[in-house]
Amino acid sequence: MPAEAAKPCTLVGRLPAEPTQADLEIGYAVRGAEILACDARRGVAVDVHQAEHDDVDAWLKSLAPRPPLWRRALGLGR
Amino acid sequence: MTRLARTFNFATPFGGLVGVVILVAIVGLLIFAAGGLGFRFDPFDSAERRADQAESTAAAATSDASARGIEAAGERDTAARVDVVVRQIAAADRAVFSLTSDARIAIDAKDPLDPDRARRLRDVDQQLCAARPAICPDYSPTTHDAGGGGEALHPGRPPAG
Repeated sequence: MPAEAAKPCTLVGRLPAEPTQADLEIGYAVRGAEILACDARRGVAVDVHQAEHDDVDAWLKSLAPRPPLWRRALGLGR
Repeated sequence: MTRLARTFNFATPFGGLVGVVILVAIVGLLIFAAGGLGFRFDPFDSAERRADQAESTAAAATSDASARGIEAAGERDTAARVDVVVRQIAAADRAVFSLTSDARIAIDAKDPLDPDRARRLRDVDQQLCAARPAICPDYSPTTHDAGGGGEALHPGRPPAG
């Protein structure tokens, strides 16, 4: 699992002690960017997890002996 | 044989030992000669076991090579995915950085936020932190005011690259 995928999502854009209109605007945008980053990292985690399972399946399939020709011809390959 | 019997007295211990050695040598020569003709003297089936062992070693090596190949392809795929994500995050950071610059020089940039609105927003953040503290690294359940200082606001990160 890549390190990028392990980063947690955080609640960014929280207001300072004496917030201004600019702080509100910036906080709004920063929070949107964090949603994007968090979703991207989540997507990587899910994709890599699925890809690892697919790799294991492919490896197990490569270990299995090849079925005889008549089984493959009849579509009984597995 | 009579001359040999005269030379070595097989009835003595030394003669008996020599006789045994000669017998073993003859048997060894016969087995060697039979091996040359294609006969195998293998009473414990060691050749079969060696063949099985070599076969299993070859199968393990093939399996290992296959796994290494799949693993390498997986690593390349993961690196490509991470690269895409890093670029997406960098694009978002650039957009926020640009907005931050504009927001700081806007006409009403320094106008204080309505206190009621600020309180409502802080309350919501506080509830979110309480519901899932992991998303608020600086959160402690005893803190009721999230707006402890300027560090609570994380402005846009400078654009990467």
